[in-house]
Amino acid sequence: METLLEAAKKRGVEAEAFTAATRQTSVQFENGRLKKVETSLREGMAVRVIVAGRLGFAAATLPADPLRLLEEAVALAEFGKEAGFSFPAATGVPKEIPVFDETVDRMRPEDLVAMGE
Amino acid sequence: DTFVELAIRQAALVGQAKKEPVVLAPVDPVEDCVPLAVRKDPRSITLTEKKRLLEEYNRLILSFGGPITSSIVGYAESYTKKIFVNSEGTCIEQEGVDMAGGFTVIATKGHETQMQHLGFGSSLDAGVLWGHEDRLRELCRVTVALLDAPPVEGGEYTVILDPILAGVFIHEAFGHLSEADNVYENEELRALMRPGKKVGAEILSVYDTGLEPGARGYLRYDDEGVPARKTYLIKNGVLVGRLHSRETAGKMGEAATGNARAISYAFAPIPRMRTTCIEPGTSSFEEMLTGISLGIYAQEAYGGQTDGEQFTFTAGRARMIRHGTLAEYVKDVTLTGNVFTTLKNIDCVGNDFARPEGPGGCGKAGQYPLPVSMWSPHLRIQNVVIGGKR
Repeated sequence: METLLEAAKKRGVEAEAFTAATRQTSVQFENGRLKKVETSLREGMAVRVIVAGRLGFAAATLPADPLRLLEEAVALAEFGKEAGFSFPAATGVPKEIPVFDETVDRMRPEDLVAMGE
Repeated sequence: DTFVELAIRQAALVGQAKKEPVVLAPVDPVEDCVPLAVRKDPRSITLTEKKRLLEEYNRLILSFGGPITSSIVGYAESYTKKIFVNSEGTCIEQEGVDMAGGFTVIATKGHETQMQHLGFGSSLDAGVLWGHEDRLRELCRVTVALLDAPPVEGGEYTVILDPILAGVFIHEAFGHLSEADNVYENEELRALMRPGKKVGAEILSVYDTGLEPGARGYLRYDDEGVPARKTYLIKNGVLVGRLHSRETAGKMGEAATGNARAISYAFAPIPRMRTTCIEPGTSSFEEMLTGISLGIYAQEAYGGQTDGEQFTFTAGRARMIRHGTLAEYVKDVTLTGNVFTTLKNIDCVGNDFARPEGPGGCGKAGQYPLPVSMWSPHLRIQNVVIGGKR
């Protein structure tokens, strides 16, 4: 992300970057019987830019080449919506906001099946 | 835990709950590479050019003027490279492109609004982006004409379906019933969809295939590495096949058909359609019209619902047929009935097989939009219930 923001800064492009890693487990019962247990892990990165007042956006799964993502977003900004705003400047917002419940993270597929039963 | 270990643990959990073990239908291991084979690659056209083209179409619609007040013009394309390997020795690399777009024309007059759609798509040729001007002008004329159309009078009619509506009908009302995962744990549906059963008129044959180059539903191998072969569902009115994944085929003791598809790597493959076709017959459109003293020509699909054997579809537009000729436009034409009764009431299958494509795709179990195609000739059906004013 730093590489991306550095590159954007060098080109004089306003940019924001975003990554997310998600692990999702689903358990499905049908007619009183366990039918399906699936886990999907996804990691991705998105970049949004404002070039000449217009928004450009690109996203990819990881591992991704941040510079290529930036290129794509900048190219698309030519056709983007007019932004009419700027991305917020750095502020004193805390880096970690405590909204995370660790019990969710500790749940195993077996626990979900037991709950379902 | 590694990924594989997690998958094994999850399989064990599901396995304990099953009455019988999962047996995958046997298929020969395949090593193959399917490189991109396109007539015109959509990636060779600049974004600027695509935008200019779409803007021209948009201008064409809006410059029609009068009651045409709004438009929607859309286009999307994707390039996909898939690699599939399994522990049986199959290794397949496939490349493909998918292109699809559509136009919506909206006309308003007083309290009346009418909307018409036109679509295009291909897995082979970006040339489909060009040349829609004449069809669009015609679409504008029809949209305006429909503003003054009276609502149809409800009742039973002889109906001719255009290839688009016929395709949507066979996909929604029959194709989904043919997906084996819908059938194999549903005793009632299993009895309804018994191979060898007469389910339609003798002149009706229906198949699903991955092997039509250019179709959005084109697919050489499915997402289990099974060749996507042509599978007859109905032959001369008799049910002869269904759409399988290796799991459902193994379960039902039938052969895998290459219909297991996933919207992306993040989903497990499930039985899906590819290009679903009604085989052409021998009737010309004129022959179908002849002999209808009062009937309906229903074109395009505007949406619909199915519930087991029952279906309801709304035609995108429709005209009355009077004394063997096409007459005035009517609106609010909704067709409803039992799919098997309706398939048996088909008395003409056209010789004018059409290959329409459009935007969007098929949705099932949270996996949307999957590129599929629905191809068909005109169909004539007796005794179709049309909802509407009495």
